[in-house]
Amino acid sequence: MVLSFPPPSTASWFWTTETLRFLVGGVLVLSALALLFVALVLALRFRNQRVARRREELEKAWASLFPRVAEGRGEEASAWLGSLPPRDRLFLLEVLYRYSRRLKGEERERLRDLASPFLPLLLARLRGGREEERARALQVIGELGLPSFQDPLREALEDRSSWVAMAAVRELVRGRCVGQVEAIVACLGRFWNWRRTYLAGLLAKMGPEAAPTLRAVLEDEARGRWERALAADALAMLPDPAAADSAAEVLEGAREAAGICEGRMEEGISSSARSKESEVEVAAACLRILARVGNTRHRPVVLPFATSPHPVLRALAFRALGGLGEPADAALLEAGLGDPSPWAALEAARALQRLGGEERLLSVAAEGRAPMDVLAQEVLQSWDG
Amino acid sequence: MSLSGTFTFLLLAFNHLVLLYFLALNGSYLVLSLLAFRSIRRQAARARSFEVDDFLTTAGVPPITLIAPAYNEEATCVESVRSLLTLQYPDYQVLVVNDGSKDATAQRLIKSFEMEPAPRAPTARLPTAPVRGVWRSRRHPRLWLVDKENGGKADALNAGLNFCRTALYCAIDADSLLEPDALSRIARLFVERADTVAAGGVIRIANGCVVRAGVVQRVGLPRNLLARLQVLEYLRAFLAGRVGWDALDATLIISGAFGMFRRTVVVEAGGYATDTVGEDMELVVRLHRYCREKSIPYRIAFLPDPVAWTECPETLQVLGRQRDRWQRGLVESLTRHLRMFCNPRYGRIGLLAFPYFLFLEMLGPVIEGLGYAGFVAAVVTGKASTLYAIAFLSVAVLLGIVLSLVAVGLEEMSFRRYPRTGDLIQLFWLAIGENIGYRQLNAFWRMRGMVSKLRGQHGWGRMERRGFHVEGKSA
Repeated sequence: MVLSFPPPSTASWFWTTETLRFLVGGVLVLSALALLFVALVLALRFRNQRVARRREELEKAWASLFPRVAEGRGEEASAWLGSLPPRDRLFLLEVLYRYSRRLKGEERERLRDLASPFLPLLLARLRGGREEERARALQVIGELGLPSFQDPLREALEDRSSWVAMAAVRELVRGRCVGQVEAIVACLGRFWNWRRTYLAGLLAKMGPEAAPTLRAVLEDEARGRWERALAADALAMLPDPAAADSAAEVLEGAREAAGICEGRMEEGISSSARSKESEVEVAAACLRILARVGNTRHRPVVLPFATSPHPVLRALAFRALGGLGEPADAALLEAGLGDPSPWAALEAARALQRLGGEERLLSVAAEGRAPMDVLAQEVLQSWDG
Repeated sequence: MSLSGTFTFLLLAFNHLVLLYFLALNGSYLVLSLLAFRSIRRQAARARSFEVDDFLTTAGVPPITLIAPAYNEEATCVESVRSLLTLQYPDYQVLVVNDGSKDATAQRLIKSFEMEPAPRAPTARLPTAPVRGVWRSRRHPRLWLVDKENGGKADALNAGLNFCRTALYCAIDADSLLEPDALSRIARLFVERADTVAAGGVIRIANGCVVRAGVVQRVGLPRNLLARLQVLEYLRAFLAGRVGWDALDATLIISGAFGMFRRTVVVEAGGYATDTVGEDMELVVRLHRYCREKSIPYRIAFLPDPVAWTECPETLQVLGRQRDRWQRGLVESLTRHLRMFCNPRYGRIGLLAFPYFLFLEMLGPVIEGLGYAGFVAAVVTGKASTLYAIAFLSVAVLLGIVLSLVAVGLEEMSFRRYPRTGDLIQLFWLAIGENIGYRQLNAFWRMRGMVSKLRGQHGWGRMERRGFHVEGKSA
């Protein structure tokens, strides 16, 4: 095989000798770097294996100690762990964290006592670590350090990273730090792009003690609609019976102020109506409250929403009527079976059944008018297994 | 210019073009790998600190429907569905869509899970082949079966969408194994970014792994060389490629084997296209287009920690058919949305991802396949200089090896799924070995896919499955 340099005319088009040399040089440098990287990765693997082996041994030693501590028999544990070399102390907290999550009551408390001398180590990490390290430190503090370590958790609500701030929210919620509800609600605005029902679920995890604060947020018209809808969703999830009146009041106001019960369907999706979207969300969340804890007194507030141009409001109004409606509402719900929104139609069918309208559903099912017949059959045949 | 002069001129010109192509392809991959390097370590750290239990016990976690199209899966469908029913997620339904199987897929499911006809009103009206019936399991009320006439995978997915009752759905292959926490990990993204409309997870190769009760228990490299090479290929594609594109916020592919979507947006965008074999990619491209054109704020993302395991082909014939089909899917997805190409209206998708996929992934195999031939011709006829030959080999082969080594390194620095050091070392060797033969074969198959597309071929090609390696026996 004969290899020769290309004629100057072709070599000079694009790939001049210089560019080709530069290219080869560049790739060779990259290859050298890649080999270095491979060596580094292998070294890292061996190091990780060494660390893993050492940690496995430590865990084995602790495996018999922790259950004794949890049972209140490990008096020697504190002194023994106190002599741990500093490099193993964070790992000890990590293992305690995992172990403690499986325990409850006094057993968990005893383990927390064991961890408490080591927790200040994590405070340093909260100040200087990367965001994932800060979040992890908060998780460990939350599990092993509450209620005494509430302050660092509350301060973390203001952390520049929303990932870290959410870790703080989760731990305060898990620790049922009811005194921090206001602080949590105040910081939730920074999570506006999170799924609202998830945040509401977190708030609901705080338990009934959080309800008064949440009701205050819902009733406060000066608050943003997103925040009010969030509070209402949380109240519905709790569920908080006392929130029903607040929800009804908000719904009355929303209906009058925004007219979200009037107009045709087309108006519901026009640009002017889009500006009312968040108002609709508040109304929807309030209807969810009434669907769960409302009573017949709230029926007049709910009824107008059954003809709202917004499918979600119609669906939720039907759902609420299933619980707080009267037999006279059966006709409205039967008409709802033909709602253009399949979701609203489904809620209407379920509500009709809850109101004792099986006879009506049976006749719709027998009529054979699709899709209402399938809907009626589905509801009649539904079972929870 | 004489005939031989013209030939030399064309040969050299083509060789220069090929060198430019390899530089652009591997250069792009290098940039993506660098972006992935930064992103993946962060994502792995996040994945480690994500407490699945805390997430699952919070009310407000979005309910999910798993839509699993099944066609002639009687041998594996019961085991696969059983595995789907054991996922760690508080609120999900499994909707198996029997796409007119010619075997006893539906009957086996009905019998094994004690299913009975159950009326279920549709929530959307995407056109599909006629639905013969809807069934629900008495033993597992979350399990549903939609039995329909054959219409293809996309048609089956559309039928599933019509009966989907949740805001999110997860499209999976009936023969994929989802890790128990995969749903939680992928749903996390939809919780943290309410504007997320689609997200994909990693597909890993299950050949060589030990599976028990539908869960991968021990990860290892397959014995079959072809499968081992695909392990490396998947690592490079997912951990370097897709993580890199995600870092650029320009995800254009979500694998059909495991992807989660917002139901309303997909239905509004028209559901899955039934006239393409690349319905998964086409949907993602269309979602980008739809959201941009309707000014809907959205995000389409990729996460490297939710994992689905799949069986890969172990013979050249089956692998060739698979790559042929993938290439046709790519061509169909890109050509029907050509207006997005270099169109600033579509942001990074139009200006970055689309040109990359069009020039380097779609047309690339043709340039690459012919390029190897042209290079050999130039060397044999003495038209290529030594320096050019070295440059070509450096950019086409050496740089390719570098990229594969980096991909293996990324895996080791983030998720470390291969615990045996021997496997890791073998992966590094494969990074070198794949450049001799395997890569060229791939280019050939994909080039053949282009030809099949031009000839108007639409079929899927038969995929033979050997079954996962279940502890104690071969399933």
